[in-house]
Amino acid sequence: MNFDPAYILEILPRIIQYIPITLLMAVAAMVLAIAVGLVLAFMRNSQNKFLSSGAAVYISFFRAIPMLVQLFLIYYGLPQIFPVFTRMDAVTAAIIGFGFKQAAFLAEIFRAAFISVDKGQMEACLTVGMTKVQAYRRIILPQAARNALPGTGNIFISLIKETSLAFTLGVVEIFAEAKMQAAESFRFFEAYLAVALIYWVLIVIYSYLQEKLEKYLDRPYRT
Amino acid sequence: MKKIPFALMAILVLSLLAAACGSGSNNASNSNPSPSASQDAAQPSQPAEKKVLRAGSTGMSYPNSYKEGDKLVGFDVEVIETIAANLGYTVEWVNTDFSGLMGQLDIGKIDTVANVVAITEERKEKYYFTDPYSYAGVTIVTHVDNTDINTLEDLKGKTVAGVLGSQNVKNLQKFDVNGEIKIRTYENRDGAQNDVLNKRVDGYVQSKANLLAEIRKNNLPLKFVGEPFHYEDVGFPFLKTEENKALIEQINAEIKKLREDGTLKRLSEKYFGEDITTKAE
Repeated sequence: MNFDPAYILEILPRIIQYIPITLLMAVAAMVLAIAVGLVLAFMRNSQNKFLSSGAAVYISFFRAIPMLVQLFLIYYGLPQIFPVFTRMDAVTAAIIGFGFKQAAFLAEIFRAAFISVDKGQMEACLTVGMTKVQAYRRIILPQAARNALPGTGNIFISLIKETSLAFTLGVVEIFAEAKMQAAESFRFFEAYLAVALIYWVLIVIYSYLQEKLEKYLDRPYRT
Repeated sequence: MKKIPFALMAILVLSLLAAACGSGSNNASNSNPSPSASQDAAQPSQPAEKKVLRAGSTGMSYPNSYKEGDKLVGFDVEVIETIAANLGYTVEWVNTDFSGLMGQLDIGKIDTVANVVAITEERKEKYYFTDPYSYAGVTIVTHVDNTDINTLEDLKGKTVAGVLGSQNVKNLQKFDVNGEIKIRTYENRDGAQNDVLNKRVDGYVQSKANLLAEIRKNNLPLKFVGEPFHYEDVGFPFLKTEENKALIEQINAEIKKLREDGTLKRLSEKYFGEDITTKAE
């Protein structure tokens, strides 16, 4: 078998240079997704029919279409209708694409998290004279956040990996660089293995951070 | 409240790190006006935006466009870079999958594509092309173990791999008028090539020069099935604007010059081991 483990070590330093662009896209998309997702979750839970059905349509659309299709729509499709979008660069388009899609998934996770906090708590808050905003900020959100964290972490992990799709828009990241290096050496198996290792390490580091955060949010429940 | 900063800091550090390094590697792939600006200062007679040629390429097409270390190299890459340098342009590269390249051209993110773009009637309706700088014979390879496949006739009822959106696939369809060859398309060359090597498909359609270079470089167990069934002219496509028309005339003059002084031949022999820059009989 023609397998050269040394090539993995040779190619790793070149691929590692592209970790920042991968993380930049993942983190920025995550921030966007959390913001949009929170708004959507509130809209979905709202009594206002217009708001809640608007959020429902958004969620059903962005959960349904494949990520790659969405990236093509945003980057290659939009400029044909609105020429102003040609000014958007590929990284921005990718972040918007990833963020808007994952917002739909997060909205459902957040909605479930809000529902998981007993109704009686909100009623109790209102009885003691808090406003709704105060109740959310002081009582509901901290508990919902704890319940939403594991699901949210999953979304971030899939985001990190999804960024490899940005190469179709011309953003060179970890996987794209590996493919280009492998085109010269023809050692695809080794190159892909190197990429797999890098993603694994990234996810391990993230999981460790999430665990810390979980412990922190768990503090009030410890006896 | 003592522990709050931990989560905040983790996020902050991560995003700062990403942003700081991200902008550094961005420049490699996205248009960055600064090189043109600095050149402009040296030659004030030239307007700034005229000095940069944004070209697209997959970076995964050996030996037309691939990476050697951190540098994008290859036959098509070096041809356009030579032309651009002679005309006083710097080339800025955008690397993307083949299916993304034409999209980038359509919306004006790049000026041209240097990745074996065949000049066809359909494409001519949409783009202006330069004169051909190389000629690609389209052919099919199969695994050496397939002793029963020796002529194109033998491929009837078999499956042949090709790159999505490439002209090779369209030519095969045109050649195979009765639709007797099954065609399976792939996002890029390595997928198609790997599948023929692993015998998941019976053949792989690609330009002869590329196949020769790959086989030679990596000792691939592949053999040609007959002679090329079609020849393509390869040029650089540009969007149809008056500005590009003028630029194409300049590039055409350069191509003529490079062909006459032997530069094209030299580049072709460097990457393919043979001259593909003159039209085959």
